[in-house]
Amino acid sequence: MTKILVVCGNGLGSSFMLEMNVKKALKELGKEADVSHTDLSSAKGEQADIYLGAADIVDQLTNTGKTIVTVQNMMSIPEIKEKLDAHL
Amino acid sequence: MLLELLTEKRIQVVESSNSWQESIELAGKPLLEDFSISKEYITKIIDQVNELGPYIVIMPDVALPHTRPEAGVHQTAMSLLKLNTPVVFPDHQEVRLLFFLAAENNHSHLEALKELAELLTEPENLPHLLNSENSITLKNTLTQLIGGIQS
Repeated sequence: MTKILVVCGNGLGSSFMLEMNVKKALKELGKEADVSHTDLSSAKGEQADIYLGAADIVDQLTNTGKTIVTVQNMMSIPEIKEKLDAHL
Repeated sequence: MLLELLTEKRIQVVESSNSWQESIELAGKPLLEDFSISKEYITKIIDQVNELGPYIVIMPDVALPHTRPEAGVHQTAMSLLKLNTPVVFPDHQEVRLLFFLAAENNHSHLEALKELAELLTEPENLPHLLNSENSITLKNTLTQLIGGIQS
């Protein structure tokens, strides 16, 4: 199963809310994935198929060859759906 | 749980703020005054935005200032600041609502954040919050909107 890792600055607040919204978006898309959240420094060492978060955070993972999805509005289910769908 | 944390004393509506740093300080002030956090907690949030970028801006107009519990949280708490004039965060992101979060551990605040996510993912809710003119109407609006989610 596709593994999606939601990343934020400290893995405590925004990434939790974003994880909820990613799960909601997947449900609406009718797709399944394994979703969890963490902070930026842990994300560097954790394996996943897709790393998703705010641009200023996940852009710090770009040179690691990982698949990155950046979200502008973390509270927009339509935006999350559109951006995730391209990778699933 | 969001409504229990956001007591009337923790909700403020002001005209404007001189800088994003000042808006974070002002948003956290009620929690400093009721001893939920230490001053270092606020400083740490500002440092982290300077270091990592404005990732606490979770959507247009809304920020969730927070950092790790060990930076200085005494008890889980939240406060809310509304600015009538937007303040500009790095990367030109305009913010009018700051939900300031202090989490004492990794789980005690999750129920409140779940409610907040449900509130903010409904696009029609934000204008109602932004149109509230004072702390009492803002609290009433929050109560109504969250009531609508739960019923």
